[in-house]
Amino acid sequence: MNFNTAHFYESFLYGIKYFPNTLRLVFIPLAIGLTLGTVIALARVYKVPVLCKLLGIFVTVYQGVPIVVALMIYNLVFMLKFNDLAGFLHIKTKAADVDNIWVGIFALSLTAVCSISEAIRGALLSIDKGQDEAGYSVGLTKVQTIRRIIIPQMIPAAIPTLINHVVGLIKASSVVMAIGIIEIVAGATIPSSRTYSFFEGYVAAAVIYWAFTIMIEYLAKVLRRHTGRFRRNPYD
Amino acid sequence: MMNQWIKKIVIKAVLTALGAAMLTGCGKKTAAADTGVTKVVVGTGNAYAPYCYLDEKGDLAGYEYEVLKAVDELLPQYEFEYQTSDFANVLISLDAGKIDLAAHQYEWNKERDDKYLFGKEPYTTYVTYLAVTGDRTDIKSLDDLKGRKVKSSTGSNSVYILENYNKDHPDNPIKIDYVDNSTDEETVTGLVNGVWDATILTKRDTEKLNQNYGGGRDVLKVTGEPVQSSSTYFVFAKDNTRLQEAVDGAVKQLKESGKLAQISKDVIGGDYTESE
Amino acid sequence: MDKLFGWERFFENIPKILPYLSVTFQIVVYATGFGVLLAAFIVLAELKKIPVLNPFFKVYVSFMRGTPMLVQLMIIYYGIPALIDPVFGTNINRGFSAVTFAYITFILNQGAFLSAIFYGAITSIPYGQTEAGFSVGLTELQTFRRILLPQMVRIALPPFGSDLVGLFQNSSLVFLIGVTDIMGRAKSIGAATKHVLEAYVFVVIIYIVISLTIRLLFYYLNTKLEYGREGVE
Repeated sequence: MNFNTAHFYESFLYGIKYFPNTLRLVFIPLAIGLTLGTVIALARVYKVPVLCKLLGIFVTVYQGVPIVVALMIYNLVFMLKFNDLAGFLHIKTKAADVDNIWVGIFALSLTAVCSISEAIRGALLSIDKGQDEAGYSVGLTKVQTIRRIIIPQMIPAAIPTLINHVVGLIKASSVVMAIGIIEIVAGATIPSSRTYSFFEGYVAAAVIYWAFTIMIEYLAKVLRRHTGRFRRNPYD
Repeated sequence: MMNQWIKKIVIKAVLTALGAAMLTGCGKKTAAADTGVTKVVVGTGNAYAPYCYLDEKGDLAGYEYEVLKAVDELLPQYEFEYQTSDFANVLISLDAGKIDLAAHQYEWNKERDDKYLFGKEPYTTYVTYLAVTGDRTDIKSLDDLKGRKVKSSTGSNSVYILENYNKDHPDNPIKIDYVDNSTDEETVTGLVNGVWDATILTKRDTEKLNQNYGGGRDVLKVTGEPVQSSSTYFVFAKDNTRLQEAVDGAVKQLKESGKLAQISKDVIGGDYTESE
Repeated sequence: MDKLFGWERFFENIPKILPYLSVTFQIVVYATGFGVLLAAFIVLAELKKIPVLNPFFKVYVSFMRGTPMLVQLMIIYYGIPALIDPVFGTNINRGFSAVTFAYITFILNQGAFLSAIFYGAITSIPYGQTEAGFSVGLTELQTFRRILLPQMVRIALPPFGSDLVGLFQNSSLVFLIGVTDIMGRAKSIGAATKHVLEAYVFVVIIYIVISLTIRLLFYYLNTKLEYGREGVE
């Protein structure tokens, strides 16, 4: 097998062209995951009755579901039931009008919510209970304590795990090609279906992903230094 | 010390792993060499009923397999061994030298011909049409699909047709959805619910889908003139003319004896070896 | 159209899918077993700063962590033979079956991921501990085995557990190169019986059970180790 540089280059350009789709597939679920994940983590750490149990079960069980299978099921259900659902809700949108990238975003978001909530929960638990008490003792309400004391400390503690999840999300986003969403891998192999240079296509996709994750990890390093600025380590 | 201790273990482990893998690999080869029979690895798909799919027991079944079995019987100098994979990976495997013969209802097209060696003896006709839901009347030709969504899969001939069409009509291209290794159920569901406006199918595949998912109705139909009339061929590596000639000869024999038509009737449900 | 989900179809699928669980388990066992050895070797090269190997492993680990499993599977399945065969005159391209390449991919991938976990664990133990070992006359190996390893295991255990869950899930990609595991079997049942949803749902249940079992097991191990720690304090 010969490595064809021209085909590699063409695949590379195609992969880049669909890079924005990967960005959407990563950052929308990330935003949803951070918001809902924090809410879930707080509900569980502060033991909101009933909800905390239910969320705990959901997160633990759902983390066992491989994203590929979940995606296949959502896609099948989406194609079959979306029109009924839209009709039921009196929405005029039809399955045909919905870009199926949203099915991918939905699946990735659920995964992100679960894993991010676990990361944040871990960070919250690592904060000393005395911090809450200190907040209450100076007359802050529970919400104020969480917002002003707990969350600012939680963020730097959660960042390393969060970055791992972001990198995981970037890589997981490639599975959506299974339902026909064109992201980097599917994009890079588009020219391959004409030239049959699939190997070059996959290598091109790998290069793009690799560069992207290295960049994210570099940004994470900078971010970590920045958020850790106020954390004094007596041993330093 | 620790250094050497760990090194030893790692080296031993790697050697055993490699050794085990080599042994399993070599075992097969020597068996073939003893009898003077050349082993031919056939690559085919695993999700295209009734041509190549895994049956209820998980074994390879379908028209491609039955035809190749008959071909193998006629060629004492070769012994066929089958390797299934995802559709898009069959031709890559041929390119990478992992298989000698690719069988997946391959139609001839120029790009493929540049890279691979096609058999000269077709073994099924393959006339493709646009397939839409039973109640649609607005789509008759590729021109009606401008700006609409069409389901296709990476590496297929329908992608080739659609992309060529788009190259000639860049102003309002057909939106191609590359859905790899999808199931029939997904194809029907997507078309019925309007996720895709059309796809490219043969008449017999459309009938098969109606039979399996229609519940007595024609949920899908082919429309308009054929998109392409061609036949399917076995595909070989560029320089493997010896195997190609041998297989072609056997296919020809099967045609003359009526065996090929019989297999087609038995497996696909009609004689599709010469005409639709 | 037929009913989307039928319980009788669901139960019919169970005996068809379960035997393929062994394929999934084989991949996981090979990947973890050899992955741990490879990871130990990588960590050793990193700690000892072995020239050539150390920077090589850095790039290697970064690649394995930075690219999707699917892409790695394809590159190794098609690329490794192209690299090795011409050099050593072998024919692993044909000699190795698809499942062997699946093992190799997952071993290489796990080696990289586990090395990061092990490296993090070992470097989180203060160097004073090693010095303490030497000062009482322990050899390097003894220090490692009696002082560092027990602490390392406790630190590495939780991330190792989640890695294992992820490995099970990722193993479902091998269907693409023609290895039939439970996910692949579910798909092929879909093609043969025209109904795929029931099979998918059953596969999801299997994965959930596996993941819960692993979590429980690691939780149990973790409490065991914590207990031992308290005793010392």
